[in-house]
Amino acid sequence: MTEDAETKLQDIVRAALELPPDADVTRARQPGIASWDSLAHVSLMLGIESEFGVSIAVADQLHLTSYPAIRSYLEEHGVGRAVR
Amino acid sequence: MNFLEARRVLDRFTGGDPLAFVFALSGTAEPFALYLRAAAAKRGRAAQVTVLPFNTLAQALRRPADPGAIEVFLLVPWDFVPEADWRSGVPESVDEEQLQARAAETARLLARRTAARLLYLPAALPPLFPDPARGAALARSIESLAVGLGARLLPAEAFALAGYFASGCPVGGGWIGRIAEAVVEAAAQPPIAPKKVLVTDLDNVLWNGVIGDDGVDGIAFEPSGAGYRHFVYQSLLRRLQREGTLLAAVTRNDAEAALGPFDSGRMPLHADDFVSIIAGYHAKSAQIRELAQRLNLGLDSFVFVDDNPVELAEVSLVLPDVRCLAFPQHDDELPVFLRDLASLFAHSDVTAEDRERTEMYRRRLEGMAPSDEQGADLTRFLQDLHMTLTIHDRSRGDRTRAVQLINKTNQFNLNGRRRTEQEVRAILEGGGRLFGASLTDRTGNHGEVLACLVAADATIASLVMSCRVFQRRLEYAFLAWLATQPHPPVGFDWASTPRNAPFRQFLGEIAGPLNGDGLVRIDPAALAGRYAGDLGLFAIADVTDPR
Repeated sequence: MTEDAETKLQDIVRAALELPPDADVTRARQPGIASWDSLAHVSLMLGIESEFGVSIAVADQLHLTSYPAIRSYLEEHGVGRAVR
Repeated sequence: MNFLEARRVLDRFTGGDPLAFVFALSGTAEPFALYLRAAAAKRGRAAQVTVLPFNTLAQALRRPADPGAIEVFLLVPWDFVPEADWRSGVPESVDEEQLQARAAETARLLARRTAARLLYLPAALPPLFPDPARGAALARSIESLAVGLGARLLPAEAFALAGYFASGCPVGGGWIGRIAEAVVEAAAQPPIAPKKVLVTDLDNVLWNGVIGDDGVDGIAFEPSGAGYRHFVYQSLLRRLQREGTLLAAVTRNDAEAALGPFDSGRMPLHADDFVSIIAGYHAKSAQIRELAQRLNLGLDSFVFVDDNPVELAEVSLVLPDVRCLAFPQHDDELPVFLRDLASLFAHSDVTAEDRERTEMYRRRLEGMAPSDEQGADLTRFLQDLHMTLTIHDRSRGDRTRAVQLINKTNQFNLNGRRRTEQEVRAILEGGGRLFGASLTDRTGNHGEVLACLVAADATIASLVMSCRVFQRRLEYAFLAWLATQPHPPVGFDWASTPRNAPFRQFLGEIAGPLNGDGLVRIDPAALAGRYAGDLGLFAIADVTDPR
């Protein structure tokens, strides 16, 4: 994933979960963050769709409950891949 | 507007006038909150949004609207037909009539909320019928109900089934910002003034044909052939009138001709269905303004329907508050036109007063004479029409259309004189000239619309023009062109007829006051100079050297 895409993803996660601007979200997981409730999850999924132009299936949405999982999902779907 | 942009907008927003509204959606509305606030902030407004609890839109519709609240409905097909909700699965079987009845019931409930702003998302339907064509027909039927209620149509691709399954929000991340902007735009609109008066043109609108030229027997308004769409239009107007809409007619005709079809008793509409039928040859904007003053109604409660883009432009320019609608040229455009028209007069209940309104207002208009005020300067609009006038020398070759025009035109007709082919030939053999002129513009090809017969002594023996092209300054342009040709005309063989008031008006303008019938002299050089600007509105094409 390119640096720009990674930065954007971190911004989305911070904003959707109402975390401070300097929070390290690269290891964020739903069970460990109080603000990551079901509504914030919907907001996060819509934010990712909106920023990266993807449509995330329901089954995937249920499993995208950590930053690493989201990052992997986006890479698998070719989002933010560096142009060679 | 995407997610991060919405956040940035809100971070920078320091406050503004509140924009309070109810956002009514049968799915989950909460995910919209960020985007709605950001969309309002972009307009300098602080959104105060109330949302309905999930899946309670149907109940909310059955409660009376709060008269002080702005309601914005984001509707999907299953708000009309609950069986089409993807979250309920595909029903084993459905009763089509029952579905249609449910949809009509929802539409009726929505129609009662006359101040509500409606948006319709035409999401795909699950397969409800064994025959997919019936599903498509149902989708179209629901969409037409929504549009008929005045709903703004949103792009179907904004619907996201994944998001709807996951959270109940029917719009995906790729579209939610744009849909939120549409919702806020609807909420921020000033209250919609209900329309009260429908002013309609007559020729080629209320009936097919030109009454002044074709006569009652030559026009069509019955449910067959060319009359069909005019019949349907009249039947809608009749319904609107019964529901309290005031009908008025404004036509370029003399009164006797305009009333002829009504007097026949064969039309769905009768003269007493109208508060006024204004027949004359002055600007339609002036007639509508006079009508509004007499009726003591705001111009923003008027709708004007005409088939002629020049008339529509003239009224729009002078009276921007009047809603102008073009009567469709093709049957395929009729359903959308009629839906739009009906939605402008949508209302919840019909009272006894509504039914009597026409009679009440007609009394106010008794004795009203057509206004003779000038209309708008249409130069700019006419330039944008990109008109091309092709002038043909019909002195030789086929002159069928030119002779036909001379013999069928009543209104813009120099003297009403009918001429046989033999008479025309005799004038031409004696040294006369016959011209035809065809018009095309960006609205289409109007065909050969003018004929002019000049006698050997340089007097104009016949000059006729189709009333379909009134208001385009074509007659002035043609005269300016003719005045610059070798052997220009020096006079008109004028005679007044019961029908040729438009020509009398034209001739009075170019030659001064008329003193009875006979030769009216003109100065071609002066006319060429005076109407050069009108000639400049046209590209002159294919001019045959007229000897």
